[in-house]
Amino acid sequence: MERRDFLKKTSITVGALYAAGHLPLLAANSKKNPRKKKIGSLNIFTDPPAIEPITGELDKFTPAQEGTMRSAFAASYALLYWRNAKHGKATGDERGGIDVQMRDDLLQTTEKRQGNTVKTHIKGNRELGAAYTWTLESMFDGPDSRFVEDGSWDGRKMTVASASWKQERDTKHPLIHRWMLLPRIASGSIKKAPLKFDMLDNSTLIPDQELRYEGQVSVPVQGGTAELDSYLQTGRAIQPIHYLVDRDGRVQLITSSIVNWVLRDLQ
Amino acid sequence: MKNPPNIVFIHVDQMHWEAMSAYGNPYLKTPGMDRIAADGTSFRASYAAMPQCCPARTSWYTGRASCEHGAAGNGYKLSNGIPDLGQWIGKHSDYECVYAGKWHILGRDLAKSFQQICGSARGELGDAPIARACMGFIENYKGDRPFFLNAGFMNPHDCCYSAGAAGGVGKYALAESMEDELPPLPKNFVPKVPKRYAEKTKDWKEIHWRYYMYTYYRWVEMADAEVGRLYDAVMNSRFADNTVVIFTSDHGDGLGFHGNTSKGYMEEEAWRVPLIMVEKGKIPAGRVDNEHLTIGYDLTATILDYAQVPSMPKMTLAKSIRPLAEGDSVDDWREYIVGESFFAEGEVGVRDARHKTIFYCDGQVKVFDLKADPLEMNNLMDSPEIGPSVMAKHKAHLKEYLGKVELCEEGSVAKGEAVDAYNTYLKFYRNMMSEE
Repeated sequence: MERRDFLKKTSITVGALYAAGHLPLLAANSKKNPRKKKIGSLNIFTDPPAIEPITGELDKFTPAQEGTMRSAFAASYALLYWRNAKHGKATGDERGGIDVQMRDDLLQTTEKRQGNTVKTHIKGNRELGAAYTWTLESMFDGPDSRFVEDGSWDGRKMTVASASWKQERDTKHPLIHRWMLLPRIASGSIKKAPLKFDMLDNSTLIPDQELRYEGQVSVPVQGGTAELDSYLQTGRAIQPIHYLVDRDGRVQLITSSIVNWVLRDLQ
Repeated sequence: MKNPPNIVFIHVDQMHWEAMSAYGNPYLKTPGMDRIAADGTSFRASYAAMPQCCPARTSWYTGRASCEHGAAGNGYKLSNGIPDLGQWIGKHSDYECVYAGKWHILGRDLAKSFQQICGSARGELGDAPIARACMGFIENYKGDRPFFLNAGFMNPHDCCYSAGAAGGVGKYALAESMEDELPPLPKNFVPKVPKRYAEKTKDWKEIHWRYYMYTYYRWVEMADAEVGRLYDAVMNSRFADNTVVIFTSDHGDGLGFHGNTSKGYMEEEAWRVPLIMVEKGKIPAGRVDNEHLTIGYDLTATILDYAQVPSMPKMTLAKSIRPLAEGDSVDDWREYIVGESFFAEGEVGVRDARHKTIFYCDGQVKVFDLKADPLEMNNLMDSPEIGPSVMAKHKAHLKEYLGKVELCEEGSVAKGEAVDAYNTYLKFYRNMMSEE
C-alpha cells in the first residue's frame, strides 16, 4: 500500500472511531491527575502555557490513534506558525511541515518551510538518540541554490563539510538530532532522569539542552480531552519546548513559540 | 584600481548592543558572533539612524537620515526619488547584488533592486532558511564578478512575540520554576511602566521582566547559530580572502533597561547597535574601537567605498568606516552624531564622545554623561553647572546637522498610520530648524 493511501485510510478510520466515541485517548471528563504540579497560582502543565501557542488549533485536532514511536515509524507533522492571539486563543496557520522516518538506527527527514526543502539522513544510535554521521541536502526553488553537507560526530566534536566549506564545533554532551528525540521520549526513559544533550537541528549545533519529564497535561482537543505526558526542553538557542506524548508513545504536539508542530499522521 | 572585494552584509533585528558573549555578557553564549568579533574590528560606539526597523533599514540602504528618506517610522515608504544600494551598485558596477531575508523598506520592490533568493518571516520560522539560501549561493556562485550578498536575519526580533500566548501569561508561567536560571534586572531598571508598549508589560512582576530577558537572550542565541553557520561558510569558502563581512543590527532592544522593552527611543538600549567588520589581512582582528561614533547611514558609504562606486545623491552625512576599520589614521572623523525617533512623538538624540542629549518634542530635555553614567541614570539637566552647557553645545550640533539635511516633504504612508502623523514630524523638525 502506498504510504499516502495508508495515511488517508488511517485518517478515515480514526475519524470513524472518533465519531463512534471509541478513542481511548479522549476522555471528556478525565479525572484530575495527582501528578499535576502547582507553581504559584498557575498549574503550568494544565493551564495554557504548554499548549498556548496552538490553542486555536486544538479544537480541530484529533490525536493520532495508531502506531507508536517506540519502534520503526513514519510520522508527518504540520508546522504551525503562531501569528497572534485573538479572543483568548492563538491564531496562526500552517507554514510547512516535516516527514520523519525512523528505522533501526537510521533517521530520515524531509522538512519544508519558507520555500526551502531540507532532506537529512542520519545514522546514529536509536536507543541513545545520538547522531554519528549525517547528510543534509538543502534546496530552494530557484537555480543554483542546492548544497549538500556531510556531517559527523566523534563524541567530542561535530564536523560539517560541503564542497565549499568545513565547519567544526566542540560538543560537551551527546549529540542528538532533534527528531531522534522522538523515540527517546516515547520510550519513557526520560521519566526516570532528565536528559542532558547537545542538539543537532539540521546541521546547526544547539548546545546545552536539558529535557525533563514534567507531569501530565489535560489538553482540550476535538471532542474531548487528551491526557498527555508533558516533557519540557530548555537550553541555549531555543525557547522552552514542550513535547506532549500519549501513553502509547506518540509525540502528538510540540510547542515552542513561533514554530510549533502538530502530528498529522503516524504509521 | 584593485579588484573590489565581495561584500557580505549580515544584519540581525533588534539586537541589544551588548547581547554578545564576546563583549563580556555572562547571560548568553554567542559563539558565532564571537568568532566574527575575534576576526574583525568591533565599533562599539555605533548607533541606528532611527531605532525602528523600517527607518533604520532604509537609512542603511540609502545613506540618508530618516527625515530625508521619508521612512519616518514603521509604516512609511521610502521616497520614490531616492535610489537604494541594490539599484545604485547594480547600475554603477559589475556586482552581483543578492538578498535573502528581511528587507522592510516599504515602497521599494526588493526583487527589482536585488536578486532575491529567500523571503523573510519571523526568526524562528525563517532564519535557518535565510542562512541556507545564502550558503547555497556561496556554494554555487561561479561568476567572475564580485558579489554583494545581504543576509537579513529576523531574530532576536521574535522577542516581540515571545509569550507565544493567547491572552494569558503564555510560557511566562515557567518563570517561577526557572527562577535560578533567569538573569537579574539591569541596574537602571525602574519599576514604572513607560508609555511605550505599556499594554504588554503593565502587569509584569519582576520575574516576568527577568523571564523576558531570559527568552530575549535565547532569541539572540538562535540568531547567532544561523549567523555563525553563514559566517563560517563564507570564511571557509574560496571567497574568504577577498570578502569583507559587515555585521550589525538595525536597532537595539529595551531588555529591561529603564524598564523598557522593544525600541523607538533614544536611550542606549534602543539606539546603540553592535557593528563588526571583518576582512582577512586588512582589518585588524580582535580590535575594539570605542572611540569613533558611527551611525547607520555610514554603512551605505562604507559599502559604496568597498564597491568602488560613487556616492549616491545628497549623502551629506554618511562617512565610510573603511579607513577606521583598516586602521588608518583619520583626523577629521565626526565629533558627534544625531539620531532621531518618531514614535507618535518626536525625539532627537545628540551624542558626542562623552555626553548625550535627548530633545523631546514636548520640550523636555535630558542630558547624560555616558562615561560616568553609562546606564543613563542621572539626568544632568538637574545639575545646573553641567546640563545646560552640554545642552547648548548639542543644540549647536543639532543646528549644524539640520543645515545639512533636506527634509522629505511628503510623508508617504504605506499602511495604517495617518499622514497627519508625518506632518507632526515635519513640524517638529521645522520648529527645531527655526529655533534660534
